[in-house]
Amino acid sequence: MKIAGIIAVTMIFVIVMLSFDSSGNIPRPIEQIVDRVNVPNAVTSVYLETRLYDTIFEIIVFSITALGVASLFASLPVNRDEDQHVFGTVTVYSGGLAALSITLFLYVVINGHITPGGGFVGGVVLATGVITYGLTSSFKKASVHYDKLKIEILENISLMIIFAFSTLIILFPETHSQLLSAASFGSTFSGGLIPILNILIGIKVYAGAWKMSSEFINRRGTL
Amino acid sequence: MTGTIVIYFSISGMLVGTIGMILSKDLIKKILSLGIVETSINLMYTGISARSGIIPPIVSGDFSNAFYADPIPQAVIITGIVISFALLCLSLVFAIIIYNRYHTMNVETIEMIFEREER
Amino acid sequence: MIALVFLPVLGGIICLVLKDRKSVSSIVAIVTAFASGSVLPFVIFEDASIILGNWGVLGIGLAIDELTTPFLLSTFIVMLAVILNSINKSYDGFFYALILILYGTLNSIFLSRDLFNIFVTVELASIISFILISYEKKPRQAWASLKYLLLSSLGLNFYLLGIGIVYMETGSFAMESLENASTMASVLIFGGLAVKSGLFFFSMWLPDAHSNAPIEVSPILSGLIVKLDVYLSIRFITYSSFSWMRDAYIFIGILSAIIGVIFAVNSKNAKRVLAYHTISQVGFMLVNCDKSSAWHGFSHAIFKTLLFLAVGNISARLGTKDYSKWSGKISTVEYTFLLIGSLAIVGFPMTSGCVTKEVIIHGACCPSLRILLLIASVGTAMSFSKFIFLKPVKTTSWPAANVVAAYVILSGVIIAHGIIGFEIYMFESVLPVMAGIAAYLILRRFLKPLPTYLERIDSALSSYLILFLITIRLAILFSS
Repeated sequence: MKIAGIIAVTMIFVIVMLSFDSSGNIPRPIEQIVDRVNVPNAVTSVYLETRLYDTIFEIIVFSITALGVASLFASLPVNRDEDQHVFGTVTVYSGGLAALSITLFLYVVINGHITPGGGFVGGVVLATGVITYGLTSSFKKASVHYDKLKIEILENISLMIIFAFSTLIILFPETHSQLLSAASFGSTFSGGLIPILNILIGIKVYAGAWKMSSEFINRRGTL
Repeated sequence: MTGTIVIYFSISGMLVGTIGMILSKDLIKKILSLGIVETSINLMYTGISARSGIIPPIVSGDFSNAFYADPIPQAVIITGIVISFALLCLSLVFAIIIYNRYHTMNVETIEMIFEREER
Repeated sequence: MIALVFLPVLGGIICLVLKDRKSVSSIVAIVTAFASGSVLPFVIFEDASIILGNWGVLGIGLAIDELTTPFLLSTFIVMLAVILNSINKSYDGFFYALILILYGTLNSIFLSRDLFNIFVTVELASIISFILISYEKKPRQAWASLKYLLLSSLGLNFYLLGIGIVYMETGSFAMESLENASTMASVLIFGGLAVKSGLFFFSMWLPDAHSNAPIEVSPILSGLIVKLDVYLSIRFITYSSFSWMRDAYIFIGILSAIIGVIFAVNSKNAKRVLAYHTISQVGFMLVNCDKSSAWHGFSHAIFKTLLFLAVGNISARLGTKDYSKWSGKISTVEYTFLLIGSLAIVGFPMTSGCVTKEVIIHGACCPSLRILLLIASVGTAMSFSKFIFLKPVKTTSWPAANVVAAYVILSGVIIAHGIIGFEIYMFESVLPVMAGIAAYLILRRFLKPLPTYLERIDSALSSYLILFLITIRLAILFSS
């Protein structure tokens, strides 16, 4: 059965490779998008304007998965082993790296509509920095901030606001495009609601990623 | 041209990943093979967007002559990346739940245990 | 129209935020379900279409027409029944949040006219169903959903490859661009979605997942998640690049209808019987892929929900899923609703199953196909005779009020649909039912569970890929 399956999949992909041509219709929608949205980064325009409806579902996928991982893990034992072997130089550098990643997060989410970047990238950058700090220096110290800054409440609030703003943009597209075209092309404040959405998505993604990875780290050694 | 090469490579990547999913007996390896398939398909969308040019679609002023990449496949595949990340996390959680109960990652052993329990 | 999507999602987000307060979330769930249901009468009677944000070809279109209506209605009724059945149990806010977001997502799939948006929403629906299947955190459930996850995400990657090729050929993700797409792209899209369809050989993860899921989740999986592929097939077949699919579905559908029944007749586990019948009924729906299959999808969602809820509640009370041990232990009320569901699925006159099934059998293209469909419905009657011949105990004990409310809504819909749609020629459907019951009485001592070799993960994966290759060959044959 397995052998037949392998032959089948090989033939499927051979047929696919032989049958398509990539030089079909090449669309150039960039002019139209930049004209109406009036921000330089066309990917952000597509992500948060023309296909905002997809993005709402994407945010929901992320929130559901984070909570689902937490709820599925609830019955499994937590690893209480607290001693962590650390290495001096790495500890020093990872602290600096975490600070750097916070700065990079702010830059990427605020300038997401002008330079490469955006909410999702920013959130991942921040989560990577903090998780690296937790793994190399002290996981306990790194996980204190989650309760201290009330990230869970912040996450819920940003989910609500993202949903509200997206609904507004979808229901009243004309108002938002007037807001966008009033500003000067390429400045930080030219994005209308886009930078706000980027910041909120960044927070949301950071909270979800941190939650998932800390659940995995808390159950280390079980697999 | 760049786009076409990337597309062909990514389809071969999908082939490799799918064969890995069939052949490997280890659950974790199956999940990682699925990851290869998903990464390849994400790469393919980058290839699709590179057909019209390879300059990043961040416009500075005039855009009459420059060959910008197509922003739409790049933007939609961000969603695809998030979804494959979510699937990876969930599948690892399920694998950990199974491992905690039966202490094995071998698919055939797990299925034998389940079929015996059924009877 | 957009309210159909955003109201349930908003309710779900509220439940997600308030997930520690149990009592609030069930109230929010019921209110949201009724609110979204009250939107339905305003939208389903006329065709309409909008493009979000006025973006033209770049934007995402939503539209509503006569193919969408049965699916929207069945989603509302099934969700309402499931939420009613789940009150006063140990479910927390997260469960209701998942159910409500799933409701909005399904509505969005039925309305959407954008291929990539359909990918995102189908993936969201699958992710929610993975979490729901293993909600009780048993290793069996985790294994069932892991198997489902591996197969379905591989399939959806094929779908993504297909719409990538559509984008390369036409430069747009809008559904209208399928008109100019190549056969290769259409067969990849078909193959990607077929893994979720519940057709035999394509989705062998199904019996495990449906029979191990919690009580409230099995009806959603069988009534709604499986219908995604049915709906999308009916939708896509109207575009010219999918014209090969009508011939291919005649073979695949009838194969699935008959083999599913054979497995179901032999099974001893009540929930597995229902799961195999899902495979068989999906085969019925897809044999002639048009409006009649959409309405059979509607009636299947309703009576399968009734059956799964009744069987689930009974087996939770008695602690065994083996139906032969139920005899003499179930109460009259439970038996009545189980009987209504069974009569509906075998196609007894005056039930919804009869109306839609007869339309499908009479709409079949050739006499030999009609005979094969009749054989499959004899088999259905045979396997549901198991439930019909159970002996109830004469007690006056009633199940909880909310459970009875769910049962009454579902059986009311079944009987009303059966009476409204009834026509006089449908009395002939008594014949296969009688034949099936007689066959059960003769053959019942020979029935024993068949091997589940095909449901192992490697076999399931291989059989999916082999059938996929065969479909590609068929498609090239039919379209030339």
